[in-house]
Amino acid sequence: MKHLAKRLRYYLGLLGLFAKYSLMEQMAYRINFIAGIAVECGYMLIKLMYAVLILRAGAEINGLTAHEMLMCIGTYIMVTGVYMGIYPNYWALPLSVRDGSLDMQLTKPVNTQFLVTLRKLDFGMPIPDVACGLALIVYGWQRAGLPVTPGAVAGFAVYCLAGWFLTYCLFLIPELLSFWFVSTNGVQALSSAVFDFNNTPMNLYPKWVQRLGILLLPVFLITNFPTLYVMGALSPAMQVWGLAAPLAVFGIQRAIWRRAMRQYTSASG
Amino acid sequence: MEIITVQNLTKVFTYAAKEKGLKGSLRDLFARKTLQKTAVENVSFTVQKGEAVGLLGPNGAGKTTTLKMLSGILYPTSGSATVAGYVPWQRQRAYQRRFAIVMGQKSQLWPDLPAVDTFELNRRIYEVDADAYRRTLDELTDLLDVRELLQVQVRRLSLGERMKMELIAALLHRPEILYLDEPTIGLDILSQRSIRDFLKYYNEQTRTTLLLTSHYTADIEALCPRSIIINHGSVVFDGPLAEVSEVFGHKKLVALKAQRDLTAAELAAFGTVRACQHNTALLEVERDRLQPCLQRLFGALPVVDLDVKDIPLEEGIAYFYQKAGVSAP
Amino acid sequence: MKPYGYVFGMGLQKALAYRADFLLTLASCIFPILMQVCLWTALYAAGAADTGGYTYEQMILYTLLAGITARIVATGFENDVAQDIKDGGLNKYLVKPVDYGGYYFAQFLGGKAGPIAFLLAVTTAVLAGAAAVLGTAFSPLRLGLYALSLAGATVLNFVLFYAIALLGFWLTEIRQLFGTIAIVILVASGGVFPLDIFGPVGRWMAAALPFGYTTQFCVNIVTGRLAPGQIALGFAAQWLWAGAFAALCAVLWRQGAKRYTAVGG
Repeated sequence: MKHLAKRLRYYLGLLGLFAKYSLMEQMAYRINFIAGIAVECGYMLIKLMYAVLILRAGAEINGLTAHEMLMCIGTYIMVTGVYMGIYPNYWALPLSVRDGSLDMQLTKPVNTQFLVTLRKLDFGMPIPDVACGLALIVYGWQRAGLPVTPGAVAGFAVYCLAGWFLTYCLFLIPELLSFWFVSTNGVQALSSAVFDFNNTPMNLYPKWVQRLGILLLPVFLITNFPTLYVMGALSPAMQVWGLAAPLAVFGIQRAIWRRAMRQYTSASG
Repeated sequence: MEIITVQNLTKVFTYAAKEKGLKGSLRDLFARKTLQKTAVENVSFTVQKGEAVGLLGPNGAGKTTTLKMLSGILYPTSGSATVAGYVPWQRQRAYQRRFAIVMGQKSQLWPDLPAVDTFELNRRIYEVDADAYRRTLDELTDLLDVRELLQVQVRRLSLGERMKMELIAALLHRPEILYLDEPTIGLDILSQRSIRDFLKYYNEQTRTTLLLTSHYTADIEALCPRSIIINHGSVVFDGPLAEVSEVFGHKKLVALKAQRDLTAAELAAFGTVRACQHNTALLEVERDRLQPCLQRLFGALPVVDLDVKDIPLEEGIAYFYQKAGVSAP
Repeated sequence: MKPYGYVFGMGLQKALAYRADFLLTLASCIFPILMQVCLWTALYAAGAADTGGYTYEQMILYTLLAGITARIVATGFENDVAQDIKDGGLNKYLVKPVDYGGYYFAQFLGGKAGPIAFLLAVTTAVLAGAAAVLGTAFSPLRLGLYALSLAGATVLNFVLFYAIALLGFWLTEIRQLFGTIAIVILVASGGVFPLDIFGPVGRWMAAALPFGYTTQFCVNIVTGRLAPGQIALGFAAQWLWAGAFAALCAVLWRQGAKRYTAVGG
C-alpha cells in the first residue's frame, strides 16, 4: 500500500512537470495556442447544432426529455474536450513510430504508455469544450428537474471519469496500429466516425445499435451513462458494466500495446 | 568482469515490397510480397566492465541495430544478450536505470525549453536525489563548459552544444553503461574533439563502460582501446584498432619525389604504383623487400625526397568493410 | 502539362497502395450517414422537428447525397503540404521547375480518380432508389449540372484546403488541427445536414460563405430545390470563390515562401 502511494506520487509528480513544461511551450507559441482554441470553438459549435435540433424538437424521445438529452450532449462535449487536452500525444504517436523518435522514450525507467500518451498536455483546446459542456449539463440538469443530491453528482462525476478513461483507451487503439501499418488514416477515420455516434444521445438509435454501442464497442457509455445514472434509469447490471467496460477495454488496449512494443522497428531518421 | 555478453544476436526486418508502376500497384492491391533484410547476423562479443569499445562498420552494417537491441529498443529475431545481468529487451526498470543511450540523430531534449528543464525531468524519472543531482550537474556542466547555456532554449543551441546537453541528460543518473550512436555526427572539428576528450576522461575517471559507434575513425582511435568491426551484419574484426592496419603490416608505402618527371612504367619494377604525377609518386612495397628496393631506387632515380609510411588505418578498415571474413590479403 | 500528368498517375498509385486506408475511409462515411438517418427518423417520428421545408424522405435523400458529395470533393493533401513546410521538404520543390500548388492539384486529382468513379456509381444507385421510392424523376439536365457543379466544388475545395495548409508557414502546429478543421468545414458545407434548417442564419451561411458551394449547392441542384436563376448564381459564386481562394493561395504562397527562405526552412 505504501509502495502504491509512492508510485502514485511519482507519476503525479511527473504529470505535474509535463503540465508545467507543456504550458511553457504553448506560451512560447501563442499563435498555435489561439488557433487551437479557435478551431475547437468551431468544433464545439458543430456539436451544439445537434443540441439545437433536439431542443427545438422539444419532444420526449424513447424515454428522454429534450433537457435530459441536452445533458447527454453536454457530457459528450465535456469529455471530448478533456480528451483534446492529451490529443497532441495521440496525434504524434504514428509519426514518432515512423521516424523512430520513440526510441529514447523506450529506454526510460518509467511506464512507456504513461510517457507517450501524457507527455504533452494542451491547455487551450479543452477550454471551449469543457466550459460549454458544463454549461449544457448544468442547464439541462436544472430544466429537467433531476435531483441535485451529493450522490447524484458524485455518480455523474464517476461515470464521466469512466467515460473519459474509456475515451483514452478507445482512441489509443487505432493509433497503435501504426506499429504495423504505414498509414492509419483509414482506421482513424473509421474510429472517429464510430465515435461520432455520440453526437446525439443513444435513445435516438434503434435498439440493436444501442446494444452494439453499449456491449460490443462501448462508446455509448461515455455520452449517456452519467445522465442515465442521475435519472435512475441505469439498471444495477448496467451500473456495474459502466465501470467494468472501461477496465475491460483498458485490458485489451494494454495487450495491444505490449504487442506493439515488441513490433517496434525503430526507423532511423 | 564481463558486463555485456552478446551471443549470436540476429535481427531480421520484414517489410512490404512495393511493385513499380501503376500495374504493380494494381497487383499489390491483391497480393503483396514481403521482403526480409538481415540487419544483424550472428553477432557475438563480450565487453568487460569499464571498457570503451568502438563499433565500426559501413552504413547499414548493423552497428546501430546492435546498440538498439542492447538498449532494449528493439527485440532481436534470435540470439541472446545480457547486460549487467539483464536481458535488455525485457525493458526492466532496474536495467533501464543502469544504462543510458545517446544518439546523434535523435534527441531527448525538449526543443522549446532550456536543457535544464529536461535535466530536471530526467532527475524525476530516474529518481535521483536532489543533492546528488546538483553535484553531478555541476561536475558535468563544468567539464563540458556549458554552464551559461543551461537556461538557453535548446532550439537555439548549436549542434555541438546540443550534443553536450544530450550527454549531460544521459549521465545525470550515473549509468554504468553508456551507449553512444554516432555522438559526433555532423559536428565541427572542435566540438568533435571536446566531446571525444570528455568521453575519454569520463570513461577513465568513472570506469563507465562505453559502447560507441562512429563514422569517424578518429573518435574510435582516441577513445576506444578496442574495436569491433561489423560488416554485412556480422563481426569481422575484434581487437585493438592498431591491429587493423596489421593486415597490411607486411606492406609499406613509399612516397618519393624526384628531380624530373616520373613515369609509372619505370616505377613498376620497384613495387605496386599507387600514384604517379609529375615528379612525385606513391609506391606500395613488401616490407621484407623494402631495403633492397630503396637502395635500387636511390641508384636508379634522381630522388630528392623519400618517406616510408605504414598503410593508413582507414585502408585497413576499408579492407574489412569489403571482406566478409578475416584473412590476410 | 507533362509533369502534372505524371504526378496524376503517381497520386492514383498512391491511392491504390493505401488500399485498406481507402476502403476504411469509405466505410467510415457510412456511419455518419447512418447516424443522421437515425437522428432524423427519431426527430420526425416525434413529430416536432423543425423541418426547414424538408419532408422526411427529402431529408434522408439529402443526407445520403450530401455524404457522398462531401466524400467526392474531400481533400487530404493538406497534411503533406504542412509537413513539407515544417520539415524542410519544400526545398526539393523550390528547386524544381514545377508549380508547387499545381503539383499537389495533379496528385489530388490522381488520388481522386478511383474513388470518384466508385462514388458516382453509388450516387447513381441512390438516385435510382430515390426515384423509385419518391417517384420523382431526376432530369438529365439536372444530373449534368450536378456533375458540372462537382467539378467546380472539387476545385473550390482544393484551393480552400490548400490555403489552410499554407497557413502552416505561420502556424507550426497546424497539422494537429486539420482533423477538426475538416469536420467543421464539412458541417459548414452542408455535408452533414442542410444548413437551411437553421433558419435565416443557416441560409445566410449557405449563401454568403464559400463552404456551401462545395456540397450543399451541388446536392440542391439534383434535388431540385434551386430555381434556374439560383443555379446560375450559384455557379457564379462557386467559381468566384474558387478564384478568390486561388488568389489568396498565391499571396499566401508568396509571403510564406519569402518567410520560409528567410528562416531557412
